[in-house]
Amino acid sequence: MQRYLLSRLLSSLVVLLVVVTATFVMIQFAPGGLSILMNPNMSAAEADRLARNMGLDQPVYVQYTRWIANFVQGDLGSSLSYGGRPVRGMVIERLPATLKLGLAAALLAVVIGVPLGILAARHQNTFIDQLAGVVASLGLAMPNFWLGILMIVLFSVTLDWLPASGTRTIGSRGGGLLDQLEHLIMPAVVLATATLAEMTRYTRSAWLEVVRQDFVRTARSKGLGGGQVERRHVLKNALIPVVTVFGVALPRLLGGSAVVETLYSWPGLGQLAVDAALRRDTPLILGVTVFVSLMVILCNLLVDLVYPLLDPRIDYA
Amino acid sequence: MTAAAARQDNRFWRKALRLWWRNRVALLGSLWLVLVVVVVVSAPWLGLSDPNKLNMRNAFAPPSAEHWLGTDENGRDVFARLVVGGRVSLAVGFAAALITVLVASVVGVVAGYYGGVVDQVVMRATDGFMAIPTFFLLLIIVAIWGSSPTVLVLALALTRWMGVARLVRSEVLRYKQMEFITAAEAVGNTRFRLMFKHLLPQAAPSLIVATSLQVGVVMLVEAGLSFLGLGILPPLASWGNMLTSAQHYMWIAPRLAVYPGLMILLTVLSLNAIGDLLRDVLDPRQGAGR
Repeated sequence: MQRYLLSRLLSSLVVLLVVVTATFVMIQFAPGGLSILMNPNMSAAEADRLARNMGLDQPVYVQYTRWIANFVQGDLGSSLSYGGRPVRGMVIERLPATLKLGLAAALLAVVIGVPLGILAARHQNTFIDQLAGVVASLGLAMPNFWLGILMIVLFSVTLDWLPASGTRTIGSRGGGLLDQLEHLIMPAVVLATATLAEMTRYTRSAWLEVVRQDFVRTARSKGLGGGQVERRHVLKNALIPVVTVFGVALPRLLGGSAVVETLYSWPGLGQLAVDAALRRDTPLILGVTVFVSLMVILCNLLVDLVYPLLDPRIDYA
Repeated sequence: MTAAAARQDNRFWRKALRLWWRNRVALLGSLWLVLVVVVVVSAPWLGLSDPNKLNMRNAFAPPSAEHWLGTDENGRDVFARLVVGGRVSLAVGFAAALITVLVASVVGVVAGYYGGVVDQVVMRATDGFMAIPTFFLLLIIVAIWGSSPTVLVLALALTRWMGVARLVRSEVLRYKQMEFITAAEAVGNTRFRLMFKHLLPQAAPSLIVATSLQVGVVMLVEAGLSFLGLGILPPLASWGNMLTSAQHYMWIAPRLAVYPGLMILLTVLSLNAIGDLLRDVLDPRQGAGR
């Protein structure tokens, strides 16, 4: 078990190194190279200090080690457009909103997608199954910002049930738990759509695959009731591939929120990244990207740690 | 071709046709896609109104004989813009998907064939790329190099090759040990020929399926970028950026927000259905139970 943990941890570090290296290579190919990260408006002394810090007068391999050293020390550089604010502070400020939205969407995808998949599998080739299939196909083909616009038209403009933007109502009567929930509903649903569709599809096919296996037939033939077989034997085995899919979907929930956050004026990392791209603020968007990648790697590590709990057959060595 | 092979070939096509005919979604989807491609390609000869011609006095006009779907906030013909936008969105989608598959094929074949250290390095690099949320990677590229259609196509391909590369690698690993490869090796084929003439074709079925599914995903991503003002830029129309302006006028003219989104939805739905059908026909192992 310890060796398994260690090897997972090690490969996470390697992946992180690849991410940081990839960003470095990209910046090297940018017009002007590393100097694209410097603010044209800063003072000569400040520019000189930054240039020395990045090793602009040094050979590439020195620049590379400096690049990595800066990230290891948690230095994500300074933004070009927000008065030169350090990127790290801006990222930490925006993190809670993104986490809240991402987790809410993940919860929705699992809580609706998994049962829907099971329902479809248990009623294979019936109307229910077809309906779930249609929902899944639509969810995968729908541009989520379009769904978002349509929902705003319906629930905000026409029915006036839900707020169209922000995380809470500004003013004296806003800001309560219910108020925050109302703001969360639409963006979370929109963000969850594609993942929900995927969860439905994978749960259904995993369930159908497990049900046909010998150990399920054995469990049935030794006289266990249907419900008990499904709970104790089928569900547990069918969830293994579902956890994998969830791990793959996490980057999209945490990072794919850029469009949704912008549409709903949700003050998270995605909105910050879009804003940075529109302002051509390269250091800011680089910092956000490396940070979000780190979050994704940590989530994947978590998923890897959950595996052994679900599937004792997995080889730890 | 021998008689037996011809018979088998015949049987394959008959099975494919039967599956296509029975799968209503794929049937309708392929008809829709053919219609869209024909209209979009023949656009210059259709006698459409100029999609970029402004006419502020005729803004938000309802559908009429002259403007089939009415006009937008600048009095431009919505139908003409949909056609031109579809041309751009489909071209970007197909081009990016093709480059994705080309890159993925090379990476996957090389990693799978050489194995060992090469495989380790390539696969760890793939993992790393997969850990970067692709949309952020796109934002970096667009922030640095701007968003011309060429940059967009290359950027979209760069962010999507990883999954397909893994697929190709696993196919190569499966066939590498088989006798026909050993035989091809024994008669003196070069490594290059072994990889690209003998091994890669084995992965063709999965590659065809992956390509058709990639086009849909790429179109969705491009639409999202264009919607944010970071993809195809106005005045050139794309289905994504038509929704940007429509968003501001959804109180006055909600129908402007309906058409482009519906076009994206139907087209991606069609592409996905065709991809699923191709999987059932070409690669029955993968589609089991789905």
